[in-house]
Amino acid sequence: MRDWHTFVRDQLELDGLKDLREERIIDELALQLYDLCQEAIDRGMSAEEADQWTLSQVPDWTEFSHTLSDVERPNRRPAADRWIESSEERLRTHGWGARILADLLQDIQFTWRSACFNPTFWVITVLILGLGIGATTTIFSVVKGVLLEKLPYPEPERIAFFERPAFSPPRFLDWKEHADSFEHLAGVFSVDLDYTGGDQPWELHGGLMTPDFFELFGARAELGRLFSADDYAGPPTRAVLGYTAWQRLFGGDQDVIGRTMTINGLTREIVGVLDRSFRSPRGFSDEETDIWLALDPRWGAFFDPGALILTVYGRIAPGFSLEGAEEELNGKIVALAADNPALHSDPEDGPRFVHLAGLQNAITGDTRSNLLMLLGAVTLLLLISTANVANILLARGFDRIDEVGVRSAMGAGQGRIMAQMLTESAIMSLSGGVLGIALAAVGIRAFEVLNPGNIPLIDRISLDWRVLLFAGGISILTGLIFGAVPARRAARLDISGMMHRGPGGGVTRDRGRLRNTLAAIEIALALILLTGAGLLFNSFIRLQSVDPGFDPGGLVGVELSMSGPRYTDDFMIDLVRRVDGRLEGLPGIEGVATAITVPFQFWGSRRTGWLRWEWETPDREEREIWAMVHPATADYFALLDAQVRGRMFEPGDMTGTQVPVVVSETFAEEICPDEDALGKTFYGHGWDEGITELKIVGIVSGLHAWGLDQGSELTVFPPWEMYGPGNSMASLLISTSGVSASAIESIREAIWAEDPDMPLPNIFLLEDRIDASAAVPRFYAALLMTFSIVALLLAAAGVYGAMIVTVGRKRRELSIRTALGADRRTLIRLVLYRSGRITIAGVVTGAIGAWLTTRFIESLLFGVTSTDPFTFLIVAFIMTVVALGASLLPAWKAAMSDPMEALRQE
Amino acid sequence: MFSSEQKKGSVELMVLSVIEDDPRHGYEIGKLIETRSGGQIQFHITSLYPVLYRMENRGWIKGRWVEQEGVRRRCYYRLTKEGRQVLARERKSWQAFTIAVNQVIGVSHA
Repeated sequence: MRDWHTFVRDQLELDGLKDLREERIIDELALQLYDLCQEAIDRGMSAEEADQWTLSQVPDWTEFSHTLSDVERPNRRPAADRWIESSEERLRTHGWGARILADLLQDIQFTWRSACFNPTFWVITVLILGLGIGATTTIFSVVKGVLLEKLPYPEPERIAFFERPAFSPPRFLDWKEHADSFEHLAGVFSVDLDYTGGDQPWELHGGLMTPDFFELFGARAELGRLFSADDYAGPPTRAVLGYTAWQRLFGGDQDVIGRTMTINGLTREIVGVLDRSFRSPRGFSDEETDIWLALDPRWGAFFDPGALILTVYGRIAPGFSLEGAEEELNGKIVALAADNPALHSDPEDGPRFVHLAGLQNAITGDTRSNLLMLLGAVTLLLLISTANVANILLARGFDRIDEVGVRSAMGAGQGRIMAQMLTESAIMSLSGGVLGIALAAVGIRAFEVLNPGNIPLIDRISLDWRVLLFAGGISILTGLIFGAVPARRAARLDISGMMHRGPGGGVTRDRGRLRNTLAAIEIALALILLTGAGLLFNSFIRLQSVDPGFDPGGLVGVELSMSGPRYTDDFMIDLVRRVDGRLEGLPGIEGVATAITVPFQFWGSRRTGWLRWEWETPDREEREIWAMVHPATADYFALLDAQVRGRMFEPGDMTGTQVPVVVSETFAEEICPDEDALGKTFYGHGWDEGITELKIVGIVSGLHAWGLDQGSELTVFPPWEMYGPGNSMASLLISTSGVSASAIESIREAIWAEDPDMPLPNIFLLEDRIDASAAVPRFYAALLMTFSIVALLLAAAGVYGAMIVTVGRKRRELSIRTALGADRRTLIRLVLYRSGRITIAGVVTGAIGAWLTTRFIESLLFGVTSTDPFTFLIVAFIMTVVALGASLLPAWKAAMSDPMEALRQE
Repeated sequence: MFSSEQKKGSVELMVLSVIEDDPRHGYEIGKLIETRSGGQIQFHITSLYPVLYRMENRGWIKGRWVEQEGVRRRCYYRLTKEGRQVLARERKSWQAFTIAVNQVIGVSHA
């Protein structure tokens, strides 16, 4: 009789049907035809006649196939599957290249089906990879935007920044005249200016710029023009508005050119508006300048060697490098120092050389080290994720040995098996990459919006094609890394071993060594990460525990802006007196003091005040000591509750020729190194005409006014009434019994009642400022701690997984031991001994790795060294406890299991 | 012999009734319908199996492969719970239909 099964298979065309369903239909129809044929033979037909008769029962197989296909529509395979299969078939008819593609399509299809069968496994591995890739991609995007992308200026690599906060115009002009290594040399004086005469008083960020500033940075005008040479003569009366300020102050009025603004009491004419896209260097790390004024560096009070006001930039001339330009200018400074030692030389140190930095490096500054540290941390996290997934795949590979064995027996070569497993790993890692990119998009947005680390240039981070390429690249790389080992292992299977030993017998020498090694690697990497986090955390705790030297509770600071011709010395003193009187009359106000600034009004490297460096000791010995001069009223220290030895100023002190001063303990030690400075008289140059006699009436100790990590500054505090009014800036220190929003409003109203034109942008709580000053170290410590906890959990999971396999393999041995009388504690100890070996190997390796790598974060630490033994010990202890704890569960389960049951199953 | 139009309306009803009491395979179902109809109704393979698969996809019947000693394995169909409900409904409907048609054309039962 005809082979009806083969016949039906050849005739029937059920495209797109699921394999099993198609097989079932073929079987059934074949059986039917067989029955019909047999029936015909039983009726007396010959075999041939019966065959023909049976064939006639289906006259048109094509139509029959269509009918069945219609009926079987619910059982069709997904469209993607059908497309893959048909593509595969077509490709296999072409050359070897197309066949490779066909194999790839088949592997992709197989992987998809495998994922549908084991969704939990895939979700977990894709999640682990996604976390690692997402964190790495986020930080890479930040690093790229902040550190790697060029600044938006023509040839930004040729722009140099002169390091030191500020220089005097006379020095700057000498450099400009004599230096050959710069195409342009320009300076800017950043100062807050009062704009009055509008609908309300505004405080604007001002930039008084020397010629060439706009040319240096390639600025263009949106409206009107930029400054010409004529604008730089005499007082700064010509103004160019920033684009955003133009929109904010004038609503984008096209007729703004030629209008005037009253800035600090003087009339300035608007000659132009800057292009929308322009950003000054200040705008990258601080608020952008609102208004630019043309500054003649030789004009009036600016042309003073003590006026350290200019931030200087230079565009290096072609043919010079940054180092070459620095060398050339310093060479000229030697000659200048010979001609004009007062301006260009220090009595002790010789010529005042300059140090140049690339502009981008100058803007990013400390952030560079922080970001590179983060990049290192996420790389470690990614490696741990990869090792973790490799471990999971190895375990899974072990479970799939039978499946692989069958494929091999059916003709799949080692290469095909490896290719399929690598394809699976690649798809897994690319899926992790897609998830990682989604997580990175969220992470990048969070960085942009919150900018908790005060990172400059933060608005330049983005998920662009380079970041996507990076994410894709590391996804594929991780896939190859974690997929290669299980793939190779599966390809080298012992098939005959399987046949002889039954299921699971194809594994000849898997002693779990590789898994244990991976687990140890995870522990080591996690320990490095945890050590770094521990050091940062330790550093942050020490920073927080620094005593600022005063009690910030209930203290409010108010920044007053008193610039302009109407703020004469007498007016300022009278205004402050009237304002103090009003404030002290308010409920809840306990006291008001005045100074140039209050503690933590600024922090870090920024200082506001005036610097003096020429002094004479009580013995009339000339000393150069760089110190801040910070006028304050008598009750300043009392309100701060600072530690003052001696006394404060009294009205009687201020009438004689001597000026009473309070000095910081650090200054006292400098000016009188061999004796107690209290009550001594010393001398200052540059205060008034000639030399000023200064009498130390009080010494304040431990005052951290500029940041918890800044130490106690060398400061001289004269009475505000005598030296304060000469400054355009003053601040009020207000002690309250409790601060609320309404109290803040009352303070504002009290000040406006005496001076309605004073802008008041800045009223703050000192406690908030101290907290904000620690925001950056807090952010990095918190972020690194988060990464470390994730790493710790992954490493624990790695140990747990390795022990599960060990316990599984050792089940027979453990069961026999139990049956022979070993108590459960012995069994637990046995398992813990094995996990202990992995843990110790990981902890020791990790500790060495940490010792070698934490030196790179030395500059980020405060009060703790990068090899702090206490931190290392604590971290090693935590890691050991967690790793051993993770292995305790499999150990416990092994100890609690019924030995007879285990042996029976074996 | 009835026309295919006449058969069409009643195919599913006939198949469901044939397997009401016992599960049967495809060949058996065709043979039983032929026998019970006195040879008047014969289903070819090309019409029987599409009906069987359609009803199976709707969940009225369920096929199961059975192996018995000395016999080829076969796919036996049985009624599901839903299939029984459909059978009862279709039977009632068919009976009402035939009574109505008979009344119109003037056929009475002796």
